[in-house]
Amino acid sequence: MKLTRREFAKANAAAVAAATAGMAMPIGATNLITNAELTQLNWNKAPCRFCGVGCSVMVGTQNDRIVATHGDVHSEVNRGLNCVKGYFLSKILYGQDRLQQPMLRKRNGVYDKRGDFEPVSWDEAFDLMADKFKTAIRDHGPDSVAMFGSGQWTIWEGYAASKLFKAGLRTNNIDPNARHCMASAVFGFMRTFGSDEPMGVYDDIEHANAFVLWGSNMAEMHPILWTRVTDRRLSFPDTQVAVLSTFEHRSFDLADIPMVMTPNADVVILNYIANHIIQTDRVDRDFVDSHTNFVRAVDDIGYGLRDEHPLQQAAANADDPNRWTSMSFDEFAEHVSDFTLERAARESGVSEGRLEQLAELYADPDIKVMTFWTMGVNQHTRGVWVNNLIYNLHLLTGKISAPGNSPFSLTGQPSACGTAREVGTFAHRLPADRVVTNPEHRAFAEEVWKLPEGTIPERVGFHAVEQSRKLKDGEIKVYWTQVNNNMQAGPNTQQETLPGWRNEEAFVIVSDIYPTASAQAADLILPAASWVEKEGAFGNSERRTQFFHQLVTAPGEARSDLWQLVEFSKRIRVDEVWPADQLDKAPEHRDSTLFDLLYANGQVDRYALSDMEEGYANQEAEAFGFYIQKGLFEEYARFGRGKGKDLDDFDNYHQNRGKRWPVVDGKETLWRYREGYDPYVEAGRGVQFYAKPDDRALIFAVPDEPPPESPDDEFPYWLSTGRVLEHWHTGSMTRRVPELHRAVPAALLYMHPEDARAEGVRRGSEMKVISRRGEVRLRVETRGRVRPPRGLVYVPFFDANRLINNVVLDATDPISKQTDFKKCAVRLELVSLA
Amino acid sequence: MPNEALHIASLLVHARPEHRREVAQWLDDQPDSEVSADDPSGKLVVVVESEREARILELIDSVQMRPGVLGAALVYHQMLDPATADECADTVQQQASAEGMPT
Repeated sequence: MKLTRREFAKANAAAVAAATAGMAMPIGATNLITNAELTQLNWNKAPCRFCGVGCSVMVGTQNDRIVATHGDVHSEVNRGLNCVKGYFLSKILYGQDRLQQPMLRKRNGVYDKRGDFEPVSWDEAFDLMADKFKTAIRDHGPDSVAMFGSGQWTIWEGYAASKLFKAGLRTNNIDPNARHCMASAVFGFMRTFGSDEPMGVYDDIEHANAFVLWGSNMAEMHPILWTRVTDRRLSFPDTQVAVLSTFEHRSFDLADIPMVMTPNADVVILNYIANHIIQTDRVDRDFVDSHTNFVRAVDDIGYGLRDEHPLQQAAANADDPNRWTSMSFDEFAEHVSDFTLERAARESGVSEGRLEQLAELYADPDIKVMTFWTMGVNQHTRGVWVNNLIYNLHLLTGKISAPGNSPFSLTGQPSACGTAREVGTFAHRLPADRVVTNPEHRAFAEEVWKLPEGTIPERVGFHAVEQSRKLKDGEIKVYWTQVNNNMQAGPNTQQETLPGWRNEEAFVIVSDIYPTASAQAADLILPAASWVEKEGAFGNSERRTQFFHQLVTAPGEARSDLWQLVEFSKRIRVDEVWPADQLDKAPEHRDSTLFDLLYANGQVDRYALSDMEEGYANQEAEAFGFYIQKGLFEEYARFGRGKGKDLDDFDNYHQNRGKRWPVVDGKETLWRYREGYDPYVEAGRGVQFYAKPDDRALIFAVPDEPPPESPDDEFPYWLSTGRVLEHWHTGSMTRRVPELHRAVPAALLYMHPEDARAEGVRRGSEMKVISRRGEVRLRVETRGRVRPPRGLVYVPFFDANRLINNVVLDATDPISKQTDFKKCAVRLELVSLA
Repeated sequence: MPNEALHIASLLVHARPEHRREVAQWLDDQPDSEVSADDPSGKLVVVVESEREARILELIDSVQMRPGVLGAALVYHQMLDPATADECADTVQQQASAEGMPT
């Protein structure tokens, strides 16, 4: 048999798919799969860089380019499968407009905010940046500089950035775009359990007999996990799937209990279910008495708008919304008794029958229930409360921290958990659940970092939305953004973000791989390396840390975010940015650079280049002369070891398909807080929520409060936003693939056919969507993957030419400061009928 | 990689068992796809070959819309240079026979 390359590739493709399905394969072909020499490709593992599921993919390279990918059959997460996003992986690095050189706005040969972009050298870029940072800090203090990062940073990039700002420049003005995505989940975890990250794992899927999707379109957004849910549902016909959303989406196809609810009615439904559990006497009293406390959350907390906004002025507890007081079980029962089935049905628009079926999934002691949620819960002006309310149901029934009983908060970004949250790149956090407001936590970080007492400031930095506001107000003078596209993804673009970035007083730097909306709105663009153009590590939704090697070279002068941060730190001396009193505590650092202080500190630089695995390039390590990734990782890991956040030894992660933290004595942890699974639970305790001082999780009583804006006569429709599968996030990467761009060419306005008829428009008509803040033009779609109920319209937010976030309100959850992209009021105007 | 590339992909399609045969038939009738293996539980291995990558995405989309189909997942994707795709993969053949595989 003679094989051509074409035939060989096809045989390979079939063999890998068959192996994935556990099916017998055409003769001989299975031997081909992993034999790298046969395929003439060099195959290596890497976690996918798109979403938080953390699928492992095999990456095939040839002549320093990625030419093939396939799902990794050795991965416990995706077991050889790959979703359609994985299809982009071999192409995202190779768009025609890939940035390859720093670009600075100039006029007459010098930097000018109103000038046009011209190519400059890295030296010129860094010299100007260093000058801007030093001048701003000297004249206006350290809080006049800020950084916006991402859950797409690798672990060591986020760590290096956080250290540069919090310890080097001495400001906590650093926040990740995970603020738009996971901040409500983080506060929910911290309030209820005292520790971030889920207690369960994906293995729960194969143990559960009920699944509840609470504001999540898993079928499109987390398709590989959805495949596992589908398998479970079909293999065990008694399994039930409940899907709750404000519009119908693809996950409804598998739903046994489909529910479309009125926006903001989730608080009422969740309180009703708690009431149902109590009224039908299905509270697990042993569990509740031994492992929980009941508390009443402070109410009337406002909407995270600017302080002068009338809604903020009217709110009694807007200044201090994250408080609670003790209450008894009986008082809690009394509180939820107002939330009757009739009321929940009336306010949500979901039938009583469906709501009762949903409630029984939690109440019935014989059902193992797994709850999934994402942006429908987190991007919500009461997002933290809803997280807490979901935990209430699992705690009241003891359905938690056990195989198949699992409240599971899904994440959107590849390292939202591993980098944004664990590393502590939020404006209030330090690594491993520590916070800047706690003196002991600051002291611990200063000790690990070998820095004098008082280095890390106590004041919480500006969060994402506040950064835009402070830019506009002229308080932030220098602003550096890496791996995200906030000009497009952030709310209220026209009134806050864009005026902020173009404020004459601000110098804005964007590091990216493509000329995104953000890059084009910046003053200096730095070309970045991405994914396997560098050595990296991500932490996924189920606490799994996964590593990847550098497999190809970044184009032109593009360099990783890590290299950019660390190389830049060489340009600033400690005495140029620290005040005299702080310098007096460490006179030996006076003439050091921030590079010496933070990275060449005897810890980060302790591993030699010879420690690297042979056969892999490593641009940053070669540039700095030491194995910087390992040094950063091992220093960072000290924060979590012994604290329930333990990570394995660095080198192990290059060999395995990831391990779920805490990793103690080389062994990963599947179910946290449960004896027999979690090494931190003391013998004989059964369950122990050890991150709380008295080992008890909190059950929260919260009221329902109205949304900041609801439809009225002038703006009669709800607007909700989200994604479509082919264009992940803002589409910076996926929209570079021309064929895909054509597949879903422009954002559409999804609406109910009867609403279209009432408006006198049809499918394809062009309409303006107008809110109190701005407007956007879109084409009407009345069919297809998203089916809104009457009175609600839906717009995906990926299209840079149609910035829907001009229209969205920048109201946030007052506790988490996460923006609510899921509801505001709009009206529609016909542009052309088509 | 030149813009003209030959795309080879494989999909795992999960159909309800009673719909497996008609789904397989439909896939075989498509111009650029073939069913390489199937299984009574409803799983089908499909190999797609196309010079237009949008075609692969369209196929994933349209097979998901077929009656009885529960999901279609991408497994493998490779880009070949069309100019050399039909050359004999010499190394491949030599290695394969060295390992005693059928040639």
